[in-house]
Amino acid sequence: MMTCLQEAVVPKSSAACAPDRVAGGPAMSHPMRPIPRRRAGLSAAVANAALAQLPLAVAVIAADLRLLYWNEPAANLFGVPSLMAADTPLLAGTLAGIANLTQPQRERIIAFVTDQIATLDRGEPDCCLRMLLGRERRFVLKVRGLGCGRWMLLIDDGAMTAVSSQNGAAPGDAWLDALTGLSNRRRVNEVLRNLTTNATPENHVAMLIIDLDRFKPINDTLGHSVGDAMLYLAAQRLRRETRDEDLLGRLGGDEFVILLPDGGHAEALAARVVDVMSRPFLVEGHIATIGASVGIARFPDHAMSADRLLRHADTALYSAKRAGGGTWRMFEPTMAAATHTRRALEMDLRKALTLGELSLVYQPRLTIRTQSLSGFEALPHWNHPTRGIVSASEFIPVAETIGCIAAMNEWVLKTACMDVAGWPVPLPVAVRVSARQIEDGERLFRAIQAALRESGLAAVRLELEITDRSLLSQDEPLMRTLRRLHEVGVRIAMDDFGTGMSTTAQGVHTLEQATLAETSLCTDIQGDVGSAPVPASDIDSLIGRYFPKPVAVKR
Amino acid sequence: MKIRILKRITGATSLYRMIYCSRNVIAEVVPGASTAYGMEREIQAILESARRCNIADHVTGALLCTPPGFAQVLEGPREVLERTFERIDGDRRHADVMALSFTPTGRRSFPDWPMGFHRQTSAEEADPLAHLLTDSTFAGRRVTTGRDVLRLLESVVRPADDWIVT
Repeated sequence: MMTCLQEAVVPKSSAACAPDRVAGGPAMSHPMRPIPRRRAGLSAAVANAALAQLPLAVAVIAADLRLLYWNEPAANLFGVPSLMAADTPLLAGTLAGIANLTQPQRERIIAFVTDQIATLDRGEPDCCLRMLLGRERRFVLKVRGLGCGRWMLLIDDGAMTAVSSQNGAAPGDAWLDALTGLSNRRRVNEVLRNLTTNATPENHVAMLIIDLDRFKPINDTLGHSVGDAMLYLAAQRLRRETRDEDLLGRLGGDEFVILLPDGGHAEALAARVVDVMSRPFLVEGHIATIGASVGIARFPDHAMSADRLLRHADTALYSAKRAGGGTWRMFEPTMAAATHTRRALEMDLRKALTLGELSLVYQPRLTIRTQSLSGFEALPHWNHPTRGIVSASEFIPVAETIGCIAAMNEWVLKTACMDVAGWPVPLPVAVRVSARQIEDGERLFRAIQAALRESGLAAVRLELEITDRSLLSQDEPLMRTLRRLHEVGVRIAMDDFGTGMSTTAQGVHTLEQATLAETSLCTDIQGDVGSAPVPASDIDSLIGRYFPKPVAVKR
Repeated sequence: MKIRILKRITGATSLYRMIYCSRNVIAEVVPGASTAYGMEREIQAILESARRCNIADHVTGALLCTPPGFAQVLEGPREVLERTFERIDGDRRHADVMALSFTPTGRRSFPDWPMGFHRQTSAEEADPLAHLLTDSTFAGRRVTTGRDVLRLLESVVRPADDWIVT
């Protein structure tokens, strides 16, 4: 395609027969490279008309990246009027007019043009930038030096070559990830299948699966455009660490893959990937720090098929994630056993949720000074027919990974409110929720409202205990939800109050200070000193121990 | 010698200042750089490439180099700084890169230098970065924020520090 681009910039003789239409504007007043005009010669007007009529977007820029000239296809592409003599718009702004061009792509173009301007000046060979516009159109950009501080941008946006690509010559688009320009999942699968089916006994392939740590909060708090720009930068960092013969792809979301066809240096590469991803990113005016976890599996050492290799690398990745992220793990067969055990637990938990095997138990809270009962904490309890009692610390992380934690939290809230509303003393109940578990603050707000409405429980008797409070930041939607809940009377307790203060701003202090006095932290105790958690059916007798005389029920 | 950036910074993007510090691992990753001469050569190479890129990008700033680490201020249009930092960040010759600040600014602190420089080699002088870079508990560090690093660089980087080779 670039061949035709290069040829196209020299006006063909037929252009001289084109109507003598002048694109106008300052084009000729700028010292562009003289258009060939030897013996035959071309008037400036005809040359201008020829440029204007090229079936290719042509723009001339100066070193400050302002457009001095653009032809009609360029005007159509950028969505701007034909030349305006007085205006020399910035390339960055002009690119914004190209439909389907994403912000990271625009930045990539600016970076490429800037880089090309520098390298062309040093006499280095030029190259072209290819990217996808949306799903279908291919965008190819080339920069050529014209001398005198002017450069020409040649852009083929695919509209002209649609006919030739219909012949099936260019399979590229279907293989590329549009955001990062890396190979997509389909391409990775294809290459992997080829590598593994055509492998000779000496062939060794290593697969690295890379998952970004803490990417979701970036996406949630800074928005998807920052998230996309971040993914693009992460992809570039990976690209710099890989060789031409390695296959680098994006599997989707924030998951990437590297295939090393010779199997070598997988550990060193994984360590380097973990290192470069842990370094800060500057993205759209923000400093962002993420990280990466890497799982490695080898063919044929660990797996004899493409599917298994992928699964084993995934298992190793999971192990790296479980270790807290920011690290890499090589697959080991014991990991597969652990995964199997976990899968079984996942299936049992799904069944338990459907069959209603879960129940709530209530941990009494006592006031230290008076040893009087001050409230309860509701805890989910799972008594499995064959496993026996499964501890919450074991099944809650499983519920998080299989994506049913929100439903489980809703069930806990609703059941606890119903139970407590019917008890003979107006004591509060605490429900513990991890900040990490709450994906949708609005959903949580609605669930709490519904639980209070259906049970008739006064909002002040419900306490939401937020764990992993350090995962919260001031701007997060969840923080706003907590503030709204606080306003309707629900008590909010942060069980790790006092940590992470440096990341919070004024408003949160006020909320925290307001709730600190109300949290059970300072005045109440629970656990060993108090009594063991009891099922709802035993609450009456427990309350009876602390409140010998009947108390009027206040809902 | 001063190199004045004469080109006016044009464009709609706003001026930003980025400040970071990092640990110097040149001796560990560059063969032959464990000697004083090798280290000197490597640092000169870093400066020259920084200067070349920064002139092209209209970026200004200053670099402080002490035995254990680096502190750098970069000033320029936001997008350019993001790109410049991406290039610096992944460099194997430093580690534990800590981005201290990245904020819009009304003026450049080092308008005249593509990369002002100060080198502190003397073991007698107190190292202003030592605490930040070596004490993982951050107890008692003296250079704590981007603003502190900026003040430090403004005080140590002087026009007399003429490293520019033309």
